[in-house]
Amino acid sequence: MSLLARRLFGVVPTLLGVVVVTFVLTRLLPGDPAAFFANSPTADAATIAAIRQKLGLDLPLWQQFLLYLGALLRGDLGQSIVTGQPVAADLLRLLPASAELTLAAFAMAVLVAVPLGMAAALRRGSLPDHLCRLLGTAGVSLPTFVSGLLLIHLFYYRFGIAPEPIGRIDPFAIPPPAMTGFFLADTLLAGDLRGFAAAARQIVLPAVTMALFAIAPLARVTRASMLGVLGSDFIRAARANGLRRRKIVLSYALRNALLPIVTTLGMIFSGMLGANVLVERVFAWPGVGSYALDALVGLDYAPVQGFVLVMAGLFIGVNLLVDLACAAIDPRARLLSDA
Amino acid sequence: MGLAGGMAGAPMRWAQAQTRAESLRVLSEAGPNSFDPSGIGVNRNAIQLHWNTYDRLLRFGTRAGPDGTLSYDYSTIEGELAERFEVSGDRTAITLHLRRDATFHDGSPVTAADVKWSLDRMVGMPIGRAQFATGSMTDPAQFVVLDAHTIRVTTPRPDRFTLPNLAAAHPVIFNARLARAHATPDDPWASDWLRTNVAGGGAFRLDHHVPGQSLTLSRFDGWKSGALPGFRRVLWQVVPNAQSRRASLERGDADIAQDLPPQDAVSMAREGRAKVAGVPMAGTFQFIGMNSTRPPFDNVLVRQAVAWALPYRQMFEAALFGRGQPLFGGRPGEADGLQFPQPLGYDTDPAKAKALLAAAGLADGFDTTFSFELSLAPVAEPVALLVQEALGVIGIRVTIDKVPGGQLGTLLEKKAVPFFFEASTAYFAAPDYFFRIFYHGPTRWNFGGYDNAEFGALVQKTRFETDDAAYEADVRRMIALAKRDVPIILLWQPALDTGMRADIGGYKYQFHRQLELRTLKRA
Repeated sequence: MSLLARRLFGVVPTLLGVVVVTFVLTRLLPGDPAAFFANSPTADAATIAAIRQKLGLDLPLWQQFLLYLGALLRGDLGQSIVTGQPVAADLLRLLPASAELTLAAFAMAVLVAVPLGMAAALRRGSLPDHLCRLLGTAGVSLPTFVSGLLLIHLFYYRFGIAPEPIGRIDPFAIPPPAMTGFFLADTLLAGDLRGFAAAARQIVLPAVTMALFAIAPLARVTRASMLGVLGSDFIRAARANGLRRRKIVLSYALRNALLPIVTTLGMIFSGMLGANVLVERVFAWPGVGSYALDALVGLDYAPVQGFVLVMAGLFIGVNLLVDLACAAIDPRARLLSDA
Repeated sequence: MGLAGGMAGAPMRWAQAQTRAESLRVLSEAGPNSFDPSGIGVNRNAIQLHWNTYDRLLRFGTRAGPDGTLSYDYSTIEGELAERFEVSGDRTAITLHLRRDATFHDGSPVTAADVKWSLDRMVGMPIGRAQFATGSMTDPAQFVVLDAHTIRVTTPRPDRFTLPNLAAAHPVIFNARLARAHATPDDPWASDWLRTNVAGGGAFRLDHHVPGQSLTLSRFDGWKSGALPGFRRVLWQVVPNAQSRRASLERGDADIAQDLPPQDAVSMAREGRAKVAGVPMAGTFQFIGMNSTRPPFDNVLVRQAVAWALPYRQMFEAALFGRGQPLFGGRPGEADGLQFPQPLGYDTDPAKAKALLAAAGLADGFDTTFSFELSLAPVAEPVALLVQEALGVIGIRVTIDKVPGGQLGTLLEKKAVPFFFEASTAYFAAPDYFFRIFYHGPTRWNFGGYDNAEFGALVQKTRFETDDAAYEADVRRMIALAKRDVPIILLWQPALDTGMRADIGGYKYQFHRQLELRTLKRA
């Protein structure tokens, strides 16, 4: 496992780099937070100076950085002005919501895209192949807020099948006791089946909206990868040797085709987690994407730094998982050679 | 809400369906980021929370608009926590008599000591102090406790903005004993605690807050400062997307949807599934600013030329769908009534604009940049394009510069943009207050960088003017100067569009543009 340990150790300089870069980048933003937060027409230069001092922005940059680093080591990500809450508390509250939605959408996307891509590759020019192309084009070309609003209009406004597209649970409901932060898991843990059903109903539309977006690249990569493998020599040899089609497709072709698929999966998952501001906005889903955007527009440094840091951590984690998965699929990756 | 019903015992419980009559569900674009009116960077949604959970000493009266919609009345001031008040003959002292039966949410009585602490806190914090300074209140010694239920506010000179300041959104009355328990030597005004806690005695109490998502309020049945509100419970949720708010309201799941974009307000009113209250925002205005500290806009003829060249009507339709109060047209050159903003007297006349430009020695036009902030894009974008086109006709070549959110303020602070679109708000409806903020001084709020000696002197004088006739003459002169010199071209006052279910009544427009929960009721 020493290689794994070395990989984990390699994370440290990356994270440190992220800390420095986000700090410097936020300070390079052209807006002046003190002027921005003195947002009352009665504020004059003295008010702005007082606010600058209160926010610690009058200190030299290196002192600000040291203070930030010191707080970071204590686990303190600072205070958000836009929400008025500690950043760590905000992220802890919002990250599970984003993660739950992303995981649900991700599961949907994988369950649809991988079989679809395989079917398209196995029967080129067939109905699944056209469907794959259609979904691929539509998913990429339809902005998520358009597909989201369309789904709301049809399933909530027109037909009234879907619940009100606002938030994670019914507005008059009390959220389940927080164990994992995932409402689907928490309701089950509390043995509350109706709560689970309600939370599930609530997550369907936003998850489908997000999944539509993810299906496109995934199905296309699956199709291309499968096609490449199916045309290769060892498949022809397997066919010539009279192996059963099922065995050829699932054991030989799919396993070999999985590598690019898993890599794409990792990228899509990380991307979905942080970059789905639009879905979060349309469905009033309390996630980290909207949170970070609001902070950025509000010249609120601490949440932006906290968000980038947590996202960097997650990206690194997901990349690690992808590498491990690749190693398990393909011994040539040699990550776990001595395991 | 198809899931309402007997869920008692289950971890997820739903409110009983019959409470719908007494509960109100409000959807708005954003939630409060602080409960402290004098905090730093407090957003306007915070007012909606502290307006309804705190009381102030005084409040503005009520009047009905032309369409029957209630509105605040700047010209009358009545007691809130103070059941009555007297202004001394020389107008430098206000004596306020507190209601003897008023209590805070925790049941403790409201005393003059609480009032004193709350007013001291105003002048002790930067934002509060800047606001109170507009009413000549800067020093705790100006607030004197006479007895347990009487307090006197004195000012060095008679200031016509002392009373309105006490009725504004900022000076809430805190439960001083409760707040002080959370003060520290570093934080004598308990701002850390008051940012996330309510220590007041307003008509509603805050039951639950999930930051950025929802707030639950319940009526304070011991409230004495007015008639008990019509709703027992208020669920206020944050739904950033306007279409989602609208869908929920039109389906009948929500009672009120705030902050509707103009095009939605137009189509909702037409479709009639919900009613729309659209009130032109009294102190709020959108305008085109010209930096008159630098060429070419330092020349009044150039500013007038621009003001005569703009296609106002097209801009009003394209940007606001006609929802608002125009500030173009009207009587040129002299005051038309005493209220301001008022139409500046300019209309679209390219020939006149060309002649003025030639008189300024710029017959060939010039190049300039027109800036607006991206957060205002839905309105500013069509305005910018029309400005560019119309000025092109008279030879002014305009490049459009879209500034990312939050950054235009910094640029304006440095007076670094020549020509721009912006919006702002003055809480008090008095014309001289408006001029003092937006036409005077070194701050960024003097958007045009206007600097006229006569005007400056009038701005100072009117504030302390006790003779009404002299005051009116001075205001007329200032309006005439503002019309002649046009440091900023006022475009319009946009409407505040709020969508409501048909059975919601008692909507009242407040100067702070947030929802007044106290008067709302279900028919």
